[in-house]
Formats: sequence, structure tokens, C-alpha cells
Amino acid sequence: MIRFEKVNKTYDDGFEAVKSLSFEISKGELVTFIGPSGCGKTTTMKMINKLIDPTSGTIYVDGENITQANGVELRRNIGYVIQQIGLLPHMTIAENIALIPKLKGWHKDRYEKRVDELLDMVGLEPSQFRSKYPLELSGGQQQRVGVIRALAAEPPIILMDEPFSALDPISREQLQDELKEIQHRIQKTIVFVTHDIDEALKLADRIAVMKDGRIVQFDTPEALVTSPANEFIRDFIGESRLKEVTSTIIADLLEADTAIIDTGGNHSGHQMSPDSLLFASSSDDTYAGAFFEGRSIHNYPSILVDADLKTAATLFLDQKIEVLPVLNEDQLVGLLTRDRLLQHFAGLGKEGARS
Amino acid sequence: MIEPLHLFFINTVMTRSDDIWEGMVEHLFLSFTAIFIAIIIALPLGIFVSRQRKLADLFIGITSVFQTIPSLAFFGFLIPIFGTGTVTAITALTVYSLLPILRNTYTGIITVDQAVIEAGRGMGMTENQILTKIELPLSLPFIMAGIRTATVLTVGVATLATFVGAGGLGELIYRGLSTWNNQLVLAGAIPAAFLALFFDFILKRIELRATPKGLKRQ
Repeated sequence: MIRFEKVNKTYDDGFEAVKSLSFEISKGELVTFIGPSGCGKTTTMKMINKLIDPTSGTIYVDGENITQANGVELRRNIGYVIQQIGLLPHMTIAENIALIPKLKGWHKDRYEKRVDELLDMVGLEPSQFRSKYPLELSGGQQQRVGVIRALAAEPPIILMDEPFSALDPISREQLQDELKEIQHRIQKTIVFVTHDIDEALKLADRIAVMKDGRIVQFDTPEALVTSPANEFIRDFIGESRLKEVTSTIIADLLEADTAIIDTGGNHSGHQMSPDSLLFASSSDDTYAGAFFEGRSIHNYPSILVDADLKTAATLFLDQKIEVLPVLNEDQLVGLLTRDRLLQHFAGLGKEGARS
Repeated sequence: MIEPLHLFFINTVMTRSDDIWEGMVEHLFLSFTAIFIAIIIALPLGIFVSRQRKLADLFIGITSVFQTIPSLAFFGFLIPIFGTGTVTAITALTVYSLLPILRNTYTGIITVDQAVIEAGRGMGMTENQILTKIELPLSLPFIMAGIRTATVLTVGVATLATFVGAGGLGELIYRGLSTWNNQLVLAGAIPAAFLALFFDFILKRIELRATPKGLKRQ
């Protein structure tokens, strides 16, 4: 639906807002562009409806190269919602919504019906709101009108530039929920610029995280929180939202009820049960290896506490073992069992698995 | 017995009623022709400089300079060019009216909320539609205020038209002054003041009506 090919934008003052950007957005997708200010997200969005022309590269909208296209015609088929709402204050709500349908030459019956239908959709009683003026409405109500105004002429694509960030938190939540619901029903292609990662994670089918004019990662919300591409993404998403498969989780999965036994000779050890493998530590706590019935087992694998679960799973599968000693540098911190890992992957809690 | 002053005045008005009427008609003709021409020049110019903001200071500067020239002197400057008569008077009055209309048109347009314009452009309005459907309706109260200021100013300054032989109520005042006839001075001055107040009132009304309905509740 929307395709960028090696698009660059350098402003007159020499600022490179967008650098060799290539991506594709499919029909019916809600994609958010997010990143710190100056990352090029708004520039990228405004190039889709030719409010800004790229310096080089090609942009396709619905298969058509828009370089030659008439900007006004193009924009009439792309909805546009901005942070400052921008309703025309001298026109009634109905006139605001009907503005583009009218400019496109719709019949009165058709656009009046459309106005009521849209007001209904966002829970604004048409008979009550049709003839009101924008300034008589609350911020949240105004932006609802802003959103339906963008939908009025039934454009296949809608651009939204931080549409909810100026609203109070409660209205913002409500409008996000409503947008999600509307999108579920109408399946438009929506490009949504935001700086709010929670908003992006909540609404997006895919998120493009931008930095210095480039897309750093373009992925689903799930992929973004489970496998951030780098430190920047990790910081941007924030520790609390990450669900990375990392060391913290290995640490969480350590068996709590291993027996710690004194084996004499200044050694101690971890053991799952009396007749199983013993994992020993020296007196200075360094890991001394795996033992079975008093004999050391050479090359018994171990895993570092900050390795990811994939590595652990691979070890279990390749080595056909039941227990892995978990090390923090050279110290033994505990044991990870195959069962426990399996429970975790199956989404079973400890209790659930035991009962 | 000496008659009270106000009876003198009424007497003057009665005997001079033809002169007063003639003066008033001339006065209105001069003022409104000038305002009309000034609107035709300043309104498009205001729109133009709101598009070419680098030129705004230049044009507004030029009109301000004219405004600072003392009115009587300005009428005098024009005599060598246009001679005496109506043309000179209307030219001078037009030049005086330019500044308020130009400045208010420009200010009105550039102070329109940029978000509204951005929304309009983003939805696919042409530059013309943005001007006629957004910028002009929203700046209409400013423009009307400029026209009102210009009108009041012009009706006042038009009393000087008599010095270039263009008549108007100033003629009664001038004649009254030169013959030490205070009643005659008042017979010119009072209608002139009345005209200024009257048009101020009427145009203020129009200005309020020009304010878009949706903006009145602010």
C-alpha cells in the first residue's frame, strides 16, 4: 500500500531528516513510527501525502509513484489527523466533517448521512453535536471529530501525527481504545506517529523505531519487546516493558529445592536427589565440575546465568541431559532442569506443573 | 435682550441647511470613495504580503510613513502633482486609509491558527480554498476593524479637503473660522463629528456580525 525506496530528505538548512529509508506497509496495517524528536518520523509521515517532498528516492502509494502525482488530489484520498486537532472553528461539527466530501463533490444526502454515521461511531449523538461549534466541545470530543473527519471521505489510508498526545490521560486511553475498535471494524492502512511507546505497543500491528533518520527496527510489538535489536531499542522500550528471553529468566528458573551437601575435603555440592549427579564447588566457590558416584564426569556442559533460554534448550536437546549447572562467571549459582524449562515454554507456572 | 447661544446655533443651522447638506454629501462622497479605493488596494496587498512575509515590513513601512506626514502638509504636497480639487483630496484620503486596512488584513491572516491551516492543507484543500474557506473568514473581524479605523480616520481628515478646494464639511468650518463665526464652525464640526461617531457605531456592529459564530463564545 505504501512503499519507500531509498528515500532521503535533506532540508534547506542541510539537516538530513531521513536517510535512505526503505520499507513497505501493507493494506490494512496500523504501523506506528516512533523515536526521539528529530528522528525523522514526522518527516517520513508527511512525505506520504506530499506535504513534504523527498530530496531523492521514490515513494509508492497504492502502487503509484507519487513524485508526479498532484498533492491536493493525493491528500483528498488520505485522511489526516494532527496533534493540535485543527478543526475549523468557524464551521459546525457537521460542516467540519463534511468538508472534504463536499470538496469531492458528494451529494448533500450522502455526506449528511455519512456525518451522522461517523458521529454515531464515536459515540457523539448526532442530533446534539451536528450543529455545535468546535470550541463548545472538550478536547477529547474535538479529537474524536478530528479522527472521523479524516475518515469522512472514506480514504484507504490515514495518517495520524501524535493525535492523542495533547489530550488528558483519560481521554487519551479512551481514544486509543476507540481507535483500536474502529480499526478492527474498518481495516484502514494507518500510519501513526507517536513518541509514546505504550501507545505504540498498544495500537500497532508493526512498530518502526527511528533514530537519526533511519529505521533501527521495524517489527511487531511482541518481537520488539522479546528481541530488541540493540541497546538503543532496549533503552527506548524501557526495562519494565521488555520481555526479553535473557539471564533474568534463567535465574528465575533455577531449582529452589536442590540439596546442598557437604562432600568433605572443602567441597560442597548441589544435587537434585541423592542418587543423581552432584555438581561440586571448591572452597573458594568456584565450580569444580559434575560428579557421579564420586567420579568426575569430563566435559559435562554448563551454562552461564546470562545466556538465553534458547541456548539452554539447545544444550538439553543436543546433550540429552536432564540437569544443567548454571554459572555466574566461574561460580555455581544453581541448577536448571529440563522439566523446569519445558514448563516455562509451555507457559505453566511451577505450581501448575507440580499439581 | 441677547439671545441664548443655542438659539443662534439653531438659527445658523436653519439658514445654512443647504450648505450643511451639500457639505455633508461632499464629505461622504470624498470619504467613501477614498475608503473604497483603499480597500481595493490594501486588501489584496494584505493577502499578498501574508504570502510574502519578507515584503510585509516594506509595504507596511511605506504606508506608515505616509501616515506620519501631517495631513495638511500631505494635501499640500499633492497640489503640484494633481492640482486642486476632488482628485487630490481623494488621493490623500486613500493613502491615509491604506495603513489600517493593510496592517489589519496582514495581521488577521498571519494570526490564523496554523494548526487549522495545516489540517486544511493535509486534508487536501488547495491554497485558494485555504484562503477563502479558512484564512479570510477567520480574519474577517480584523479586516473589518481595520476598515472601521480607516473610515473614522478618513471622515475626520476629510474636513481638510476644503484646503485643496474639494469642499466637504470642512468648508463650513473654514468659512466660520475666517469670519469669526463660531456658530458656522460648529455647523460644520458637529455634523463631521456625528458622521465619524455614526460610522464607528455602524461598522462596529458589522464587525461583530463578521465574527464567525463559532468564535464568539471564546
